[in-house]
Amino acid sequence: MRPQLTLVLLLVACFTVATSVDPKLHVAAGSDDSSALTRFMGQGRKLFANHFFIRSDVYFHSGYYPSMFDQVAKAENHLAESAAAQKGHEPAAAEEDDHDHKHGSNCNHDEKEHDFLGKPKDFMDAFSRHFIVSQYTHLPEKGTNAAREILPWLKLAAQFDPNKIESYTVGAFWLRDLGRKAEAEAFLREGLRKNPHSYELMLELGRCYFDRNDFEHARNIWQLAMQRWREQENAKPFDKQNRFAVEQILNSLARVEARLGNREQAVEWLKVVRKVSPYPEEIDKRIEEVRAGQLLDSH
Amino acid sequence: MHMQPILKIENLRVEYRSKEVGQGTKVALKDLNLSVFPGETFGFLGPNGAGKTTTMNVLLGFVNATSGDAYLFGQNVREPIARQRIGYLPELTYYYKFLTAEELLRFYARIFNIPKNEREKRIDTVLKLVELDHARTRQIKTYSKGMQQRVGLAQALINDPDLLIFDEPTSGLDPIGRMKVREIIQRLKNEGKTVFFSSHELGEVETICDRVGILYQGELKREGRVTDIVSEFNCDLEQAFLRIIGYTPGGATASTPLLHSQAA
Amino acid sequence: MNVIWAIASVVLKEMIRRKDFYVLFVITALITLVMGSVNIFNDKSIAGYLKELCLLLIWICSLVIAISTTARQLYAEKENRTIFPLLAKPVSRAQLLLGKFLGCWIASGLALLLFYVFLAVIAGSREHHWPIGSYFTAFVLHWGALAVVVALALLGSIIFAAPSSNMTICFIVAMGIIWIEPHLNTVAVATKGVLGSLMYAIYFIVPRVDWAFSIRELLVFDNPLPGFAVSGGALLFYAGYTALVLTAAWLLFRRRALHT
Repeated sequence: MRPQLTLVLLLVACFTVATSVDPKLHVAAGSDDSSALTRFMGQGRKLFANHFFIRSDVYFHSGYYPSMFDQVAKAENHLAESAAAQKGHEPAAAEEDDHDHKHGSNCNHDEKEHDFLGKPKDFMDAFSRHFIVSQYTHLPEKGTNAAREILPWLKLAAQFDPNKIESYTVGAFWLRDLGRKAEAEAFLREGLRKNPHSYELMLELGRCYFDRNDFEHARNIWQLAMQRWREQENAKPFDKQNRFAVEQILNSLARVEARLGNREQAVEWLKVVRKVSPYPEEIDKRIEEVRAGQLLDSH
Repeated sequence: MHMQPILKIENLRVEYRSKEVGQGTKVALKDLNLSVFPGETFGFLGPNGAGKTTTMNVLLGFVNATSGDAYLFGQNVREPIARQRIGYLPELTYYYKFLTAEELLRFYARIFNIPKNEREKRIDTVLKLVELDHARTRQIKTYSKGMQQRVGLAQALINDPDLLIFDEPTSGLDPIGRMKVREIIQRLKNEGKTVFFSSHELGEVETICDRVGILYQGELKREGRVTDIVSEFNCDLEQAFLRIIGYTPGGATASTPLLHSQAA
Repeated sequence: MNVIWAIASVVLKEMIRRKDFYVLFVITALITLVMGSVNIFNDKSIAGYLKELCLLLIWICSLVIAISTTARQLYAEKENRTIFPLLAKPVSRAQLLLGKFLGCWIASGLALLLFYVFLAVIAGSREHHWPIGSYFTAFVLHWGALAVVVALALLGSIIFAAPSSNMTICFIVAMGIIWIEPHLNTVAVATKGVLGSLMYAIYFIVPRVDWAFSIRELLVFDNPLPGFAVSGGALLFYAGYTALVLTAAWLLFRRRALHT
């Protein structure tokens, strides 16, 4: 009986030490996130979160995605082109920002620009192409509700790193696109609980309210988003500010004011947008539309 | 004898590269010549390290000879077909523990291409012969050492071989087990089978064998009928064996105390 | 041929009576079912992530089964001394190797079949459609790739004394081929000099087990799988490579001294 008794006593001792030391460690760490994942994995969970987020992008592209070797090769080619361009004083080709895809903008990119595979380098490479995804497509084009396959990865990314804002914003976008507005709202609220000062999440949540014609709520939250943006971004140098986000917020505020019949206020917001927009003539057109009594399209 | 030998070894030489640095090669067998004829029981004797196991390893194809040849039923031992009509019982008997005795014998019977209808009959016969019929459906890992030895005997007999090669068949057995093995060898002899076995039990070799070969340090020191050797040296086989290999009882060690206390 | 099948059947019996495979299957099933029970925004018809996870687990488990089953075959025969009564029969070394290869390959195939049936059931229960042709093609290509892995493990068991080192090296080689080989030519092209040429040579020499692995993505995204001609070409390639490796194994094993 002695070995079993020793084992039991050891287990009891370990349990006692753990329960008495644990609260003290928790206070010392100063973390208010007591999820098992955070405590078990520490900051390493962010690696997983990044991986899952990239995975969602892979799913969006139906598996047609450059590996890290392809990305390195692409970067090296781009550097070489830039160097050659500088020598020849020609502008280098602009680098693609694939993240635009996630917000569902119509993909007008030429397939050639995304042909990271290029021509087969040899017969083995040519034969191997039969076994990999070698066609440039988007998952939502494959059928109704096909985009739902992206969601698990975004949910996992959010669980592993609740501070990764893009997981919530992109997830909410796709949920709204699939007509799952209630889930989108719930997901964004969950994100806001973990990130109460995030203007991006407020922007997306405002869109949810707007979609269900709750314009007052939408305006309130977009105003709050604008406030948060000012608090976080104004102190930064102009070229470091997130001007894309502020443009979105301002346009949304203009939209909702137009909907609520406050044309002048809408115009005021559009005038602020004009200062930061790279297309001021487009904003002038929108100002004219508002003055003419038209409701602004979603932007 | 004018019959063709069933087992023939010609100028067999086996050398190993020594694992010790600077020791060159070690010669395990030096130009061995040996023949065993049909129907006889041949005892292959020698002290440990004499080369008996090496000889058997060459005969069974486990080891390649450096030079010379060996033949079984006229076929070179390098050809698998040479082993079609032999049965081999190793000194240490280990078989697939996850199989039952029945499954093991069925497996070996398939290897010998024994037709299916004859296979089951043969398995029954052999299991009854070695008295393992009652345990045929139990996995071998549940068998005692004696039972495993008997399974070994059973697999050696499954193809009704004409030549049986046993490597120390009574090693590690209790007196009853040793007697049973002796009885089986005697029975095989009576059936006209040829038996070639190595053993340290010179008493039973003297009883069972027709001819013996005595190996020492890789060389065949003597080969002949048991009765001839015994009468030549006018003593039992054990004494004759010791004289043939040149062992003198109490020779160099006679004056050397076994224990330090005796020296004091 | 009878001898080869007899030896293969013993390997199969061993695999069925050992518990390894069942443990791996239960782990795969458990992880897949747990992941499948996660609530993804109240949508029970999402299947992509589940297929991907299940296929990854299938690949890992199939490699574990193939490599561990094969790596211990010859070692166990020598350690347990069962090789001696076997080779004392009219069995050539080539037949022994072929029998072991066939047994391990069929054992891996049976385990694989069960895994793919499980995948089809799980995915089909969500998607409500069963692309049996695609699953069958993926299974056959996967099984073909495993033939190369089994042959490599068998060759390794002749070269390496301990099965643990054989298993480790086989895993590293298999994983290396799966993850790095598809991109080796890209890296080789970008690398100048002798190193680049060496990398390109390796790219052509190593067996393309990654083809069967890449099929996963086609299954996950419901893309059409390669047709008969291409799949047949891949299988022929695997068969040729397997024959080459087994020949190398035989050349090493046929004169190997076995001491009782």
